[in-house]
Amino acid sequence: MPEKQGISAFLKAEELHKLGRLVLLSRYVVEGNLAGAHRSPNKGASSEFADHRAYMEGDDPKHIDWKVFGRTDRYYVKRFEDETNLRVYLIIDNSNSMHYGSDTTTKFQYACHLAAALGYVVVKMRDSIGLYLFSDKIEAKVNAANSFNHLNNLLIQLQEHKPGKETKIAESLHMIAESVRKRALIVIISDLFDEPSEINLALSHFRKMHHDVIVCHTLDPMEMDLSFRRGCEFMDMETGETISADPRSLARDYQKIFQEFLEKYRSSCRAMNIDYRIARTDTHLEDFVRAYLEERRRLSK
Amino acid sequence: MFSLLNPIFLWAAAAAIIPVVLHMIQSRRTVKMPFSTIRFLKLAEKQSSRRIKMEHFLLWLLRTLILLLIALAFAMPMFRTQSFGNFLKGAQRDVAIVIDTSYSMRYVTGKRTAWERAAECAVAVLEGLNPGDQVCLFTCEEDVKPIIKMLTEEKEPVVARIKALRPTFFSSQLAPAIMAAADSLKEETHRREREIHVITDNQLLPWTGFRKIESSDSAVAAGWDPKVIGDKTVVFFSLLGATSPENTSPIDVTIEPELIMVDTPIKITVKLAHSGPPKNTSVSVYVDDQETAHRSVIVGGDAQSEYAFSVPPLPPGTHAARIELLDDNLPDDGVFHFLLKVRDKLPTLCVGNKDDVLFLMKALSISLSKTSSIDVKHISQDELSSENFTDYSCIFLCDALPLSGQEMLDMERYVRSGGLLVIFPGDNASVTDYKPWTCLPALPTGLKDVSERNRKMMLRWRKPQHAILRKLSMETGGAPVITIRRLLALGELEADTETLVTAGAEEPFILERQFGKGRVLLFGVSANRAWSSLPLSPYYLPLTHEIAKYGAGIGDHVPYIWTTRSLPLSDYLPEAVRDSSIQDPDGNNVSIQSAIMDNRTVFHAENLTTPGIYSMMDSKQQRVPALAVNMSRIESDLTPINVSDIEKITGLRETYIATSKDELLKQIEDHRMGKTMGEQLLWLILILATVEFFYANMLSRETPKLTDELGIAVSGKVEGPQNS
Repeated sequence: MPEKQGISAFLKAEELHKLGRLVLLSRYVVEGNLAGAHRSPNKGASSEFADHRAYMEGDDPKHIDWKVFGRTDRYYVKRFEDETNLRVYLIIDNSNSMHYGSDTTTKFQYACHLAAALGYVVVKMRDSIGLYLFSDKIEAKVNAANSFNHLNNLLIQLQEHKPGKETKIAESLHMIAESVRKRALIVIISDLFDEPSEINLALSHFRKMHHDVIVCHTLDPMEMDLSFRRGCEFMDMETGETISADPRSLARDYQKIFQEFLEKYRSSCRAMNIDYRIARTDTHLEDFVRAYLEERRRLSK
Repeated sequence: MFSLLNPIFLWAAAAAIIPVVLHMIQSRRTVKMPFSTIRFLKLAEKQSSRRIKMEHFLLWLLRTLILLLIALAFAMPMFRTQSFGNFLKGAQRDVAIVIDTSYSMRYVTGKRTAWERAAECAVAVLEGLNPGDQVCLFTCEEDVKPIIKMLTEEKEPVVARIKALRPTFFSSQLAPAIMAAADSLKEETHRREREIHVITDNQLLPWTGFRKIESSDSAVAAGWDPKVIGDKTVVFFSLLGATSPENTSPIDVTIEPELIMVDTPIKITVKLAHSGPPKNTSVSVYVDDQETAHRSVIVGGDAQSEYAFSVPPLPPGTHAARIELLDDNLPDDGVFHFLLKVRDKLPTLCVGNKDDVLFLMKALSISLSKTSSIDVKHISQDELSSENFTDYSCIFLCDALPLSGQEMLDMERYVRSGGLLVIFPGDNASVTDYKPWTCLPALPTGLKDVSERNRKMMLRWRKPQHAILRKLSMETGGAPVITIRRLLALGELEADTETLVTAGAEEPFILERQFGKGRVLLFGVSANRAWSSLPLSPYYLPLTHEIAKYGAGIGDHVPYIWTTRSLPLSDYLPEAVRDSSIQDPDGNNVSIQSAIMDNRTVFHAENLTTPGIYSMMDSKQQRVPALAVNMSRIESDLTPINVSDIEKITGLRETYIATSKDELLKQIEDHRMGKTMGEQLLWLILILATVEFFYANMLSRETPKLTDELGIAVSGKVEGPQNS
């Protein structure tokens, strides 16, 4: 039996069915090239009044506001808010550390599943989905488009990609921020195992570019709790360094340090109005996506 | 000081390297574990490496210690005081042996007496001594008896002395003997180990002397003080008697009447003491080795009971009698000896002129019964010096004063040894003639002439239950009234004086004073009709007869005595002073020693320590019973001591208590050779293992998960507390 490819490799039919009812909304104004459900910075044809502008040649006379003409004896046309589609860029970390999994699922696999789920939700809403894959550099880029074929191709590319090398998250994120010109929804799926201050700077870069940013901090539960039962020699998956340690003795101090590490991201994301979420690989993906999108929808109203 | 019984087990101490080896094996077998990043591990290790090292070190130390101690416990380490003594270059040990020789040591358990066990135990202690060790030997009975007071290295003579010893018939106290033994040990000034071995039975009685006297009074400060023993002296108590002894013994005999005449039946009341459960026994009364009464009795548990026996009238003389019980485990105290003195005549002496003694002689010459009578003899005052007063049970002095000094002293000695002296005043004696006397109830101050009008006086019995007056019962309104013309005026009454009869309301008529073992009666009127009409009174005859009987019944006869080291013969056997041929029950002559006391020669019979009938030669050169000697019945109370109370009673810190020879030898070995520390080590191992268990458990306890602490929602939102 041939190996499944594309979206069917990540999501089952019943999962797709359930995900189809969900929406991923941007909390900010976004710039798209198609009419859609999201607010656009451009004036358009929605029923939402924006402002008045002096009539110019070529304007459709039906847009003249006759009440204003009656008061001012000048021609003004009414302008309405434009509604556009959403561009969503999935930025996925493909560094070696992302390929760690204490159970059967690695963080990268989880990230791919998450990307598939979000991509499906986005495309279902007729929004565009794009992809950046990075490790120490941008390894792959897929421009945003809003078809299921595009999504399928994007996921096939993700599926076929080999693990990268070391992580240079901050550098890569800066590069990505520069390359995404229009306002978009940026979903960063990474373990963020780099210098938090630099990563936070990169995140602020996205915000400066008026992007709505979601950080899915993907972590394995073992990385958080260090609940190994026996002592062993740990080998760094990126650098190859080793250290012999008794996890039971170290666990308390380890957790304290790790909590500080998480807190740095959590506090700076709050300050930058970035949606910061911890995606644990032992959490059922469908539950995570459903809970998160429902919560986001409530907050967007 | 320190040695090992099973040093081979020390090899097991090599197991102490097991924790290290395990640690090394474990570190070799470390699995390589790929991990996303070790940057946090590095930081954590940097922070907690010192703590982890300390925790690991403590665990290693505990485990190694446990293994070492287990090996050590199997090797059975011992502290040996002998080696310690040698190490300090000191000499060896001084041992004092104190043996209880009270007669309770004769108690038979199985087929052997406690004494045989005690002697065997003492010999075993001696045999366990090393060359150079010194020993002294004491026995405790009623006093401490140093058999070998000075410490000696020669063991054989001590063994010989122990084998020659026999239990006495006395009770004992351990405290003075232990103190004496401690004093002997202190004579040795060199630093040596000291031991006191006290060998006794289980009786409580010898322990009653262990009462610390707090008084500062030097007279009583000789009481028990555990400090005298010293901290360095170890006391071994060997209790070799029965733990639940049973014993029945006669503890007292009462003979009624006091004056036994030939025609008088005798009532003998025996008091029995019993310890242990109720049992059947039989009591027999023997007189002159003939069984005269017998009965079976049931004696109750730990109680005293009385049983009365009737003995038919006996011929005159002194009869040896005894109470005998069925043999029990302590047979010696089952026999109680006593004497029955039966009289046919009451020898009475009347001293005075014929006129003075006329009525008295007439009254006393009348027979008392068909078989007995008063044997009255009259002498004048001049013939007094040739008389032996001890031949008489009663002496009447009828206006016979003054006496010569020697006569007066002899007369007082007679009273002191149990005689009855009756003094009738008269016109011949002046007030000054009474003054040299020391035995009078009161000193006369003069003569009182009674006026014509008051001469009729009623005699009042002030002590109607007195032996003299008891039988002189008066009918109602029948009080004797006599005419008194002259009375002896008396000064202040002496101590121990009683007024038996008064003339009228308050005039003393008959006074009695106890003097020594005897009595002195002083009448207020003369014996003839010169001063009163008493001789004509119907009470005169019975009164004089009762006085003669009373004189025979007091003082001069002691039915039994207790075993003693020294008996003053003048008090108990005055007739034996001249005849020194007293023999003990075994036929050996009793030693009689003389001593000068208060300007007079006093004779003492020595060492009346064997119970039984002691005999002496009478005037007819026939051997007659003289004394009945019994062992003290205090010792018959075999109430056992509670072993757990011994330390509390004695106040001694380091004591060993054994109940058999084998146990004693084991304790001696434990003390001298040391005790294995196996038990203490096992306790220590248990404590350390418990500590290790809890400590290791605490270290391996899982740290609470950070995920739970942060409170991560399904949506990935962190809801938990922010880290400061």
